[in-house]
Amino acid sequence: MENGKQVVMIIMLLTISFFGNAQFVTWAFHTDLPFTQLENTAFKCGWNYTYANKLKEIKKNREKTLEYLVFVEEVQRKIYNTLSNVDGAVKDSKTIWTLSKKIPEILKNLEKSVELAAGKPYLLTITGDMYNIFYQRCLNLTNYLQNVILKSDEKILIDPVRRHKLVYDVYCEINVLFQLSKSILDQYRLKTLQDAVDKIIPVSTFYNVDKMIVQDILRKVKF
Amino acid sequence: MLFLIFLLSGWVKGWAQFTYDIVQDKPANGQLKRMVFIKWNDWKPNPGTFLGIPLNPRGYAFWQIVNKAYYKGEDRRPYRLPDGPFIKNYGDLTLQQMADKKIMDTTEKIRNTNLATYLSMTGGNGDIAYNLFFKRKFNEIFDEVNEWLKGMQAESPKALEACMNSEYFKNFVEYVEITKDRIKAIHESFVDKGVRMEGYLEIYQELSQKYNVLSHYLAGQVRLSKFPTQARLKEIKEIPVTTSDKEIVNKILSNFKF
Repeated sequence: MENGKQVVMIIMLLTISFFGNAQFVTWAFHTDLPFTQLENTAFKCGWNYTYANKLKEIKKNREKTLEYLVFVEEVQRKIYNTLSNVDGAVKDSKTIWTLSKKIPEILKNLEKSVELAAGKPYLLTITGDMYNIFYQRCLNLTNYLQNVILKSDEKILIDPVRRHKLVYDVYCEINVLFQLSKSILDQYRLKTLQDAVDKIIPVSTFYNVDKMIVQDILRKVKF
Repeated sequence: MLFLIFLLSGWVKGWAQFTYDIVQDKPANGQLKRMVFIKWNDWKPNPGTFLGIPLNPRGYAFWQIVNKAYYKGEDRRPYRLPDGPFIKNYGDLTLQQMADKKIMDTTEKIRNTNLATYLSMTGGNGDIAYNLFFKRKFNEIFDEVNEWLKGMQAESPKALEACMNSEYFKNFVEYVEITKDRIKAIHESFVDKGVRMEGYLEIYQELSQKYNVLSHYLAGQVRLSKFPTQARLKEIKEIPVTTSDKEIVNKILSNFKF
């Protein structure tokens, strides 16, 4: 590059002197500087080229590392989101839909039972307790469903399959209650009220079990 | 080149004169050597002394007085071998490159592990266990239920009607609907392969048991429908009773073919 500049300068000087009035010009040829410059340039360019290649290699490695890490992060994020968020498939499942249909049916059966027990003062207390137990149990199960199973919580990590299973467990519980309420209603209709009372005593076994179940599940699913 | 010759000849031809000298600029050359890598201590003009007397006053003044710090200072050639700043930097860069390569290799392995995890957790078409095994097993049971109902329709519509109206059968139909939905949800979920298979197995076991009970129930319904009606029973006035052994044997022989 430097040599190129020198040649251009010499040509310019010669051109000026050709058309101008200069008479004496001494052109000095350096026998050492250009070679030293060439040697320096070659050495620098060689090393700079190697250095640049190394930098390119590092850049390439880091880009790939970043690419890999982004992928890993995405996978981990997806796994975490799957565990901490509730899948739409769980919320829209037929199990939930069936559950939502059954709970009003249970309450309806109980109301009918109360109607049948009306006018019998010695049964009203028992029927009232039964109603409370059923109602409380349905409420507990619904709360458990809403606040644990169907709630997106970063502290509670549950995979979708387990969530479906938990919903199904609640469905089974509700189904039992539904069948029981239906059976009690049938008993009230078919037999004497005293017979019906004898049959509903096992209902009390459900009492206060919900809290224990919820605490047990919370203990298992917290990480 | 031709242009140069033309200029030179024109010059000589005219009223001007061109001359040239072969020269060397040792101080500048020495500086060039110091500026990159070649040599540090090529000092020109000579700054040295003999018995305290400068060998070259200009060199002595320039290097020992005016630029003493530079002259006495350390070697500053940026590209000097083997320990110049550039070479050190290059060495560091090489170490960095090696470390980065290791990091890249490690992250690549982690990426591959995560990729395998992702693929194993992907549902739908990626759910190999379902596509190869469980789909067929579930469908076998669902198809068998349908076959049962078709058979009942052909053999005993009365039994089928009784079944359809029974609470037990309605509950089973509800269970099947929910189970199909659960299977679909598990199949499409993004979940660990083991958990998915556990879910399938659990459902399959439950479904098999319930189907087993249902098939007995349906068979019972068919048998029940074949019992004689009240009207038919009334038509039979006297039930034949065989008393002797001979009659019993003859009866058996007439009913069974050996």
